Amino acid sequence: MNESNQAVETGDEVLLRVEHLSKRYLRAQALKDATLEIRKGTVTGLLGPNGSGKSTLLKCIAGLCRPSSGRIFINGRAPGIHTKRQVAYLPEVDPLYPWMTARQTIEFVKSFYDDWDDRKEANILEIAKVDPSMPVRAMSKGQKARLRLVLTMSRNAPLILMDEPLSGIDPPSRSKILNAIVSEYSETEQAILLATHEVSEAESIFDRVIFLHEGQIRLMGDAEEIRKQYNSSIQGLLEEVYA
Amino acid sequence: MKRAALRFAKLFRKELESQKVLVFFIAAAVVVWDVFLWTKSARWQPELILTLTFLPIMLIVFWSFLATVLRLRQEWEGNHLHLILGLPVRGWYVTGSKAFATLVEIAALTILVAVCTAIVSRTEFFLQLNVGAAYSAADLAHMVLQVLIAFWLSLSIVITLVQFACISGRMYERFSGLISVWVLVLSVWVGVRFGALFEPALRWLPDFKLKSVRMINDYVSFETVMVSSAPLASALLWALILFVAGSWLLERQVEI
Repeated sequence: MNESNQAVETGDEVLLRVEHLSKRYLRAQALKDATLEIRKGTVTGLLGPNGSGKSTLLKCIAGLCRPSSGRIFINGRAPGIHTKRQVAYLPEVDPLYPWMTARQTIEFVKSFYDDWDDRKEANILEIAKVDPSMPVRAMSKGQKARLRLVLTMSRNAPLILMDEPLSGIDPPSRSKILNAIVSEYSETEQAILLATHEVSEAESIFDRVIFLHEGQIRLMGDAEEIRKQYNSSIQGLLEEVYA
Repeated sequence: MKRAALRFAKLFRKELESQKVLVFFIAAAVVVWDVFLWTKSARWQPELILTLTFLPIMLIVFWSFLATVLRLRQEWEGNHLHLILGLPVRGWYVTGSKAFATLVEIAALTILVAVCTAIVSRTEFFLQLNVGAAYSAADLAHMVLQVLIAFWLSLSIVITLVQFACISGRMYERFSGLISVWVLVLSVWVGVRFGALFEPALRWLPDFKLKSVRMINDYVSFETVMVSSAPLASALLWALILFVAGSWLLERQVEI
């Protein structure tokens, strides 16, 4: 197994470059010397157990968290107000305002992004079965998760960051949503970095995978090649790595 | 420019919506208080009624403090910061929309108190003063407007100081409340020093010309009082510095 987290793939289509990223909180080292690249038009699975640094990595890329050391470049620019226009971030937690309806939430978020796609919005609203007139405070955990997906996937942002997007959504709906992700993004140059625990359901959509453990990248590469190399599914490999 | 204004308006509207229940509650409390005073107007002294109608002003001052804290607190406690800090806008859009929303609420509540005061105390007291004879309506309106603007500007300073203190406290995982209190105290102290330093340089600003009412026994007189605007201007300058610093902290330094 490749233990190196120093390897940087090269290519002309690099959208996101993370160099030797470390993040230390008061009592814990969340990320250690993580280096990676994400290319345009790829779906990358960010996998690892709780506390492995997945959310911290996504927050650093989204510009919501400052690295202790290392650098991040999105289309050549460090995280800031300009890169926030290029990144659609779906957080793990529920950031929605309970007093808004789903429609008000969509209209609020939509007004800040020029890349909002009304066609995508209508399509995902239908797939996710979100009632626009429903107040957020009356929504179940799963319904809120669906609304968060609408907010993220309705944008034509070059980089989509999703932190546990399927959390709280019932299993029968997950495959529909994953199919929607594949159909919406397969023909575009948009790149997706998706952190999830639901590996068995999501692994079919991954072009590449990154295994994180205790803040370090333990394995990174093409999903198909890894399956062949280890003669195992990503789910099986994940269980082996973190056993 | 139009897009930027639209985005600020969206944030501003969100802020108004987020606290509308509490604002309506305060407005209702003011009305109930004035109805109570109205029922007592036949038995109580007019001077006492007039004084008591102004009591809700204290509630408004308290609201400027509370609303500022609540507006920032809700973003952290409700995890809304993940959404707000992800928006491609400068920090001052967020802090400015919050401060402006609180100011608009304060203005609305102040006008409500003023109207209620005028209605409840309208009877013999103002007639006894014979204000109309000594003052033109334009003079009176000008004076009231000056007082209101000075009041709102003073509260905008309070809002900015509290906002800066809250954001500074939130920079730390532990003891954030305690840090906020200390930053607030320190901001006031530095502001006083800053004022002493800059006041002389701002003396060129025109003074406020206020007409005050004096009552000695039953004799009512009106006199013009000149109030220097330099202390208020230096305090506003200090508040502006803290507003910029607080906005910068929120945009560049706050972490989730």
